[in-house]
Amino acid sequence: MGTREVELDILKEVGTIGGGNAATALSSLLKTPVQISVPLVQMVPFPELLEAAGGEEKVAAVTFLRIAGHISGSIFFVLEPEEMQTVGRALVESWNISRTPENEQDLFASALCELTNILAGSYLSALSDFTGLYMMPTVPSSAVDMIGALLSEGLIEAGLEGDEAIMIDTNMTKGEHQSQMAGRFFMLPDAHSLPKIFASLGVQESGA
Amino acid sequence: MKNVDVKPAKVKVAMADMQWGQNGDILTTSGLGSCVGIVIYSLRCQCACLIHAMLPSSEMAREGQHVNEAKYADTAVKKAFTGFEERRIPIDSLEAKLAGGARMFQFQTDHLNIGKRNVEAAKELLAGRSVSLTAEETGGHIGRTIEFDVATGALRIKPTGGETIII
Repeated sequence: MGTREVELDILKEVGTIGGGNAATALSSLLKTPVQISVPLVQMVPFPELLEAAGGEEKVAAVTFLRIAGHISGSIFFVLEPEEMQTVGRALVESWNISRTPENEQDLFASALCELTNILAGSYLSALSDFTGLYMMPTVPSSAVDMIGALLSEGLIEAGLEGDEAIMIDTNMTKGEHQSQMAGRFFMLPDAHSLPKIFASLGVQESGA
Repeated sequence: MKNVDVKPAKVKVAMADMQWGQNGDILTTSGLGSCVGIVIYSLRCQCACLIHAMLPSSEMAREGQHVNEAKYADTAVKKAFTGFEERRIPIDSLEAKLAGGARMFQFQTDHLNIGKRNVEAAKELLAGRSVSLTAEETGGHIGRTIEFDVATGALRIKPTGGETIII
């Protein structure tokens, strides 16, 4: 196993623990069992990231937030619009707020931001525990549009210098029958933060 | 350089990419958010170049990094003009259209507003080469997919979930 593979393997482990924490939080919020696994952690060129998220032209609800602190990075949570309605409805109901056709979309957008906060918080606290580095999520923004249009702007905001990103992909299932949840969660540490993360995990960057 | 045997094609331009079309070709690119789509075309010579640029200036590239010319408006426009010269297209026959440059997320913190900067950069670059901008559909908060018809110079713009418009 090369150094890079060891590093990605550790990130996958961190992701799995973070996913477990997030699943527990989501299960209680959505009142249905949620499971989150991390099938994939890899370095990907930007076009492949778009493909993994569903393709550049596909319309999705995307929530974006930045990671600040000792390290920086970006988090994207990509949900199919129908799933956004389902999840949004479940969350809003738990808030005991009256929902009208006028305020519905705004409430769903808030719900999505809330959901992303929970996911991001779970991942970041797992990563913090492993690395001893301080990090926190910034306020999320969400929008429904073409994946290409949304992810590109998010990555540019993140100061996308290179054309590659580390992608911590997730697989989410929910309900008694563990039906696939049409959502993908991507955590993308910024390029200059990677050596810091790996150094704190005790892996020496070769050639860096 | 015209080749009458070549059939018109639909040419797809990816993100951070640029492609050429001639005669009846259709140049298309999708998922324009804050990115800017720059079409530079000559109706007289039936030749066009479509750029899908992500950032305004190659000065934003990291030191020592390989620069993908199509990713930055400045290097992309420069490369397009070299291409027109190689194809012996008179520069005074060129016109341009723009689409994209939206602001997709409502950020609550410092915002680069890269969409607006992309459009401004594209306009300056075109003006700097005395190419007139004949139409634009820029800004707003919506993603766009565009198709340019090299034969007619029509730019069809399909905003996400909206009606197609032609400029």
